[in-house]
Amino acid sequence: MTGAPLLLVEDLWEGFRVRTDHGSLRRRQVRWALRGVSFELRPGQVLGVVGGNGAGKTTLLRCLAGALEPVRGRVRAAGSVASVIDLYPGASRDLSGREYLRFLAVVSGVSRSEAAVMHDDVIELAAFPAERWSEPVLSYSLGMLLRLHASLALHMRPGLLLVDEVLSAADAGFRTRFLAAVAELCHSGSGAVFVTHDPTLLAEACQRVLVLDEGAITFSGTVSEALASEELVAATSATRPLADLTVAELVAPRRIRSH
Amino acid sequence: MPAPAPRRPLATRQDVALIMVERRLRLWAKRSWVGMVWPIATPLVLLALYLFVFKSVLRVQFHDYPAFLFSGLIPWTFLVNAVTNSVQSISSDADLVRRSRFAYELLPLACVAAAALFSLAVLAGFIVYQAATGHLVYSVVGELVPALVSLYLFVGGLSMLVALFDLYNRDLRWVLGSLLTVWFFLLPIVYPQDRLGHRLSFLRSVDPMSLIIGEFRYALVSGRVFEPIHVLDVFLISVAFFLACLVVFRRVSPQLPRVA
Repeated sequence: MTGAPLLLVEDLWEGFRVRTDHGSLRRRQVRWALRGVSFELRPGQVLGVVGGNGAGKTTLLRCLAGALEPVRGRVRAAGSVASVIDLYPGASRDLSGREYLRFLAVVSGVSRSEAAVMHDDVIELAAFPAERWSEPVLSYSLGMLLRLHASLALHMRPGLLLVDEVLSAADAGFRTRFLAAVAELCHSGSGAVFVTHDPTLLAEACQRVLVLDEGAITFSGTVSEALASEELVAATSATRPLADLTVAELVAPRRIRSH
Repeated sequence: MPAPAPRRPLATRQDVALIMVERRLRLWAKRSWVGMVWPIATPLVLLALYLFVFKSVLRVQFHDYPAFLFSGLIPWTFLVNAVTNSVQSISSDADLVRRSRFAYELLPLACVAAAALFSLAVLAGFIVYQAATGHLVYSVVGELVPALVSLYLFVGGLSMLVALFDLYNRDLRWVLGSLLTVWFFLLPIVYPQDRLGHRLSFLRSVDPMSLIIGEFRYALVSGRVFEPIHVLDVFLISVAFFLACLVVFRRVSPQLPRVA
């Protein structure tokens, strides 16, 4: 790919103060979640970020989303950013799906006037029964919350779409439609970053892969290079290079059905 | 850098503020038969309770005590309502704070705005009652405007402060009720200012709520103009307090997604 980068990440450091066993923050002790992460994403590309639990993947997404200000380094994203990171509604759990969607949209950057009329589009993308939109979101399964968040993010047609490993909560039908919509979005010049433990998703949707370990990049390359790499084997807890697996082996055990 | 996606109208800070207040109001009505009525009924319930205690049991002799009491309860119940709802406003929305960047101070301030709407409804009802019973001096009702502005700024600042404090230490949420009860009895709500005695009279000058209650009382019950110097005093104190709290909040704001 050519052209200016859609996303430029330079020497990104992010850390959290360590908490004591009763929850207080220690004064001087910092746990580094990201250590000097640098990469770029070009228009039309989908980047897969892989790593073990606690490797810094979600922290990286939060930095890219602008929710976390990095301790050092910088993130430059062209255009708007939409993210599907945490799905829990928190204090909004008693709102109906329709009310929550509108709230979430405005907090995510959609104007109130647009949020008031976008409902039909998002319903179509989310594709769950119409009557469920009137029910409180506390009654939603993780899969339904994912559909709501993901459909809103797609509706926003962002320059950069960030998706955490929550996509594993999607059923096969929604996953296929979602990935098709992301491909169409990227075809129009946007980009996406997927955090995943799932090599199938890398093979299906991504062009490039980053492997994170303890906050640092241990591998950066194309998907075919990644599938043959030892770093990806370690990050996904596979027993042999993923390039040696058949497509059936890659796909079959990793389908998780939502409610 | 290219901007590949079409530009869409973006949410302004005002949009986010309005949707936050709307959510607060909606949440008030959820899982409740008369959710919206309770914040309006609270000062009336307290009025009945204190009238029973002070008039019927303790036999306090005081001219027009119900109006005197209610004019103090209106700003006080607003403060209690706003502050108790604000204290956990950030920690209960931790997921939202961790995933999105917005003006986080809008979380406690939305609680204040929602409480202000209920409080204004009570105030409007009381003004109508005073007018209907011939106790309202129309020429001084306008004095309520600076009093309300001072009250909203002071409570807004306080709400940001308690919400921030609760993120770092949970003690406040457990003792807040007790602290508010102590504060309530130090304020001239159930008794007039001069009954506080000399030793505690300094509270009037250090506690803006004491002066704000005085402003409410003058405008709604006494029908007199509050001393302009005190109106200015309390306004300046409230503005300074709100701005100081806002500055502190914004300085800490980048840390909130790490702490929430």
